[in-house]
Amino acid sequence: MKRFRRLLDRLLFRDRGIIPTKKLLYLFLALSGALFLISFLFFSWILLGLAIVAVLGLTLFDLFYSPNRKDLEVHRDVPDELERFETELITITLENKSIFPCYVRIEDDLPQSFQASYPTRFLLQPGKGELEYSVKPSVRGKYHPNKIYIRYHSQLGLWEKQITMPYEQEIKVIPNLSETKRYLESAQSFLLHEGIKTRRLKSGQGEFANIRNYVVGDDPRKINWRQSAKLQEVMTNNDEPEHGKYVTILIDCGRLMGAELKSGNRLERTIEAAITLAACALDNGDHVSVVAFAKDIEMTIPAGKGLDHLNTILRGIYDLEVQASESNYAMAFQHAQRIQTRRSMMILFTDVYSLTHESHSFYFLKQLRRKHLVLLTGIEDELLHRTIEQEPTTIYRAMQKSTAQEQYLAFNRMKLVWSRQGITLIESKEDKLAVSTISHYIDALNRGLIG
Amino acid sequence: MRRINPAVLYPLFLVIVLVLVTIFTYKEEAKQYPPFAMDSPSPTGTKAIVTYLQENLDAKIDEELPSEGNNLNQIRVLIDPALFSKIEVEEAYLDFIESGNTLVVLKENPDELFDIQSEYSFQTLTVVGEAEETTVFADNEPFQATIFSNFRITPSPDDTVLVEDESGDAIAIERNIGDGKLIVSTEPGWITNHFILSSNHLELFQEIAPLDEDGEWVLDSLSADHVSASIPIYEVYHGWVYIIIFCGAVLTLLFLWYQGKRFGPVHVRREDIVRYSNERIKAISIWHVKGKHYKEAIDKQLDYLKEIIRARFGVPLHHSWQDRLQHIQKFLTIKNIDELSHQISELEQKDAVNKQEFLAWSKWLDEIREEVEQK
Repeated sequence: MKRFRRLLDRLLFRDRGIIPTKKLLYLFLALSGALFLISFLFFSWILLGLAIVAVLGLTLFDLFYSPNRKDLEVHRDVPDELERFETELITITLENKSIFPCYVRIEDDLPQSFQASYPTRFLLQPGKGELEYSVKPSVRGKYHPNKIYIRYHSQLGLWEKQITMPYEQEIKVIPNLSETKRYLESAQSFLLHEGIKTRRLKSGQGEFANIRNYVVGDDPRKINWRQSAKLQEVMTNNDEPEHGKYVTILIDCGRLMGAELKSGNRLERTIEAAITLAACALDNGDHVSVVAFAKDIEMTIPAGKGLDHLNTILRGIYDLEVQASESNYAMAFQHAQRIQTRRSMMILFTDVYSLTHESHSFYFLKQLRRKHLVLLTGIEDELLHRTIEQEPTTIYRAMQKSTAQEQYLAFNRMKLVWSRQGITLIESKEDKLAVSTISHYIDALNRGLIG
Repeated sequence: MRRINPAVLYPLFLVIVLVLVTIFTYKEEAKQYPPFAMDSPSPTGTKAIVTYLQENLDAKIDEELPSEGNNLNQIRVLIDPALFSKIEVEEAYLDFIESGNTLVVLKENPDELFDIQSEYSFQTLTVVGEAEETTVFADNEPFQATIFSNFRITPSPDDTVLVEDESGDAIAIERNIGDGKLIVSTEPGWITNHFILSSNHLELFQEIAPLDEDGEWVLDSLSADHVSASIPIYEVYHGWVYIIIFCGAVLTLLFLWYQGKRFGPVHVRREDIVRYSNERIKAISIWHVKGKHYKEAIDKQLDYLKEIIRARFGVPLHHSWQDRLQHIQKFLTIKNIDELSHQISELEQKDAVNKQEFLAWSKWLDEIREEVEQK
C-alpha cells in the first residue's frame, strides 16, 4: 500500500522523477523538421519509428552523466529571525559526492508570502557549493519548511532529475522593526509630523533630566545660574516627566483585525505599532505589559522594565494570528485589570468601528476608566471612506454608499458620546498608527495624566 | 528461506485465477463475414450463387483489375462493389466495357457509379422491419420478389429497363457503352444465400444476368472484397502528414511533461485567505436592496449631507434645506437653489421612493457632496 501511494505521488507530479529540458524539446523539434523534409523524398514508418525511439533513447544516456540521487546532500542556513519586508539571504549548502558537475536549481518549501527569488542555473562542481537566494517575507509568523526541492542536469542538459530532500527547520518572521529603530534613533524626528515635542516642559512638574543651553521661550525660573556662571553661557535645567509609569497594551486579534490593508492586514500593522509604542515606553523608563486576546486571552506578558523587556515582548507577540472569532472585549478588560492593579495607561489596539457597535463594551470601559487612563486606537477604514465617495452608478453601489454613510455617522456619534465620558478614541491612517499612538501617550505623560 | 510477502502473493494469485477462468470459459465465436462476401456461407453471403456459377459456367474469381482494351468476351460480375476511390479504377472498367465485354454490377445504391443516376424511392418506405414481398415486372411478366433497396435507377433514354417495380421505376437496366454493355441492378439482396431461392429471385437473376450468352464468366473479387477495397488509414495521406502528426504527438507529450511536472510546494492562493473590511457594508446593502429600503437609504444620504455641511460651514442640523443650500450656494453649480430645496423637502416628505428615483437622487446628492467636500 505504501509503495502504491508512493507511485501515486510520483504520478501526481510530485517528488522525484525525470523531466525533459527545453534543450531536448528543441532537439526533438529539429529532428521533426529534418524528418519532415526527408518525407517529401522518401517516407517509411519504420524510419519514423526508429528515428523517434533512437533519438529519445540516446538522449536518456545523458542521465548517467549527472550525479546519482544518493550523491547529493543538502543543508539550509537561515538567519535566526527574518524581519517582515526586509530582504534576507538564505544559504543552501550542497554537497556533490559524485565526479560529475551539474547545474542545480532549487525551490524551498516556503509559502508565497516569502517572495523568494531563486537562482536559475547554479553550477555545482564535485565537492561543496553554496547557493544563495533572497527572501522578502510579507507575513509574520512561525514557519516550518520541511523539504527542499532540487532539480539538476548534466552539463549537456537534455534530461533533468528532480529530487526532494526532507529538511525540517523553523523560520521565524518577526514584525518589521524599522519604525521602532527609527524611533529609538531619534524620537524627536520620528514624531516630527505630529508637532508634539517628546518632552514638553511644564514648570514644577517632572524630574530633573539634564542641563542644556537656554533658548528663547524657556521658563526663566529654570535657569541654572551656577552652571551659567561656570560656562559663561545661559544654561537651563531640563526636566522630563517622571519615570516608572505603567503602560498596558491590549491587542485585539479578533476576526475584524484580519482586514486587508495596503501592506499586510490590520493585525500586522497593529503589532508593529504596539512594538514601537512598547519601545518608546521602555525607553522612557516605564513598565510595559501586553495582553493579546480574541475570544480567549491569547497571550499575556506581565509588566517589565528596560529595553531588554522589548525582546520578551517581541518573542511573545511575533506569531500572533488573526482568529476567526469575534473579540471578547469584556473578558480582555477584566483580565487586564487583574494583571495590572496599579493605575496605568491602557492602550487598546482594535477595530474601533466594531467596538462602538457593542454597547456593553462601553459599560466595561467606563468601569475601567475609573482606575486607568484608557486610549482606544485603531486604523482608519480606508475602504469605508472610498465607499462613501464612490459614484452611485448601480443600485447596489448606491445602496453601499448610503450604508457606509450611515455607519460613518453612527461611528462619529458614538465617538462623541464616548469622548464625553472621557474615553479617547483615535483612528489613524495605517502608516501613522504608531506615530499617533505614541504622541497621545507622550501627551498624556506630559500632562501627568498617568498618575 | 525468505518469507514471501503476502501483499505480493495475493495479486499474483488473483491474476492466475483470472487466467484460468478465462481459459475454461472461452468459447469460439461465430466467424464474422462482411455482407455479400463470395466465400461467405452466412445468410448474407453469396457463396451459393458463386459456387453455382463456378461449377456450371466455369466462372473464375479474379482479384485483379480487368486487363486493358482487349475483347476477351468476358462477363464480369461485381457484387456490391465499394465506390471507386481512384479514377484509374473506374477508367479501367470503362475501357473493359468499351472493348466489347459485359459488366454486371449489383449494388443497392449505384449512384455516381459509371454515371448511373439513382434516386430515393419513397414507395418502399412502408413499414419499418421486414421487407414485404411485392410484384416486379421483367419483360412485362410479373415476378414475386422482395425489394431490399430504397433506391431506383433513373434510366437515360438509351437504356433498356430489365426489371421494374409496380410503379414502373427501374430496378435493373442495361446500357450499351462502346462495343460492350453495362448491366446494373439495385438488388444484390436477391442473390444472397438466404433469399436466392425464395420468391422468384433466381428467375429474376436469370433475367438480369445474361446467363445464356457465350463468354468467359469472371467474378470480380477485387471490388467485392470490402477490406482490400478501402485504403488502410496509414496510407491515405502523404508521408509528411504522418510526420507532423506523430512528431507533434511526441513533442506535445514532452512539452506537457516539461511544463506539468510539479516543482516546489503547493501554494495556497492568497485570495482564499484575504478578508476585506467592507464585507459588512456589502452584506447589509444587499439586504437593503432585497428589502427595497430606498427611502431609508435616501434619508441616510441626506443625513450625511447635512452632517458634512454642518462640519464644514457650521449650518445647524435643524435648519431647513432652503437655509442650508443658500448658505453654500456659491460653491454649487446648480443655481436654482429654491427649486432644489423644494424638491429635497418634497423627497423628505415622501413615504416611498422607487428604484429609478433612488438612483437618480443618489447621483444628485453625490454631486452636491463632492462640491461641498472640495471646498
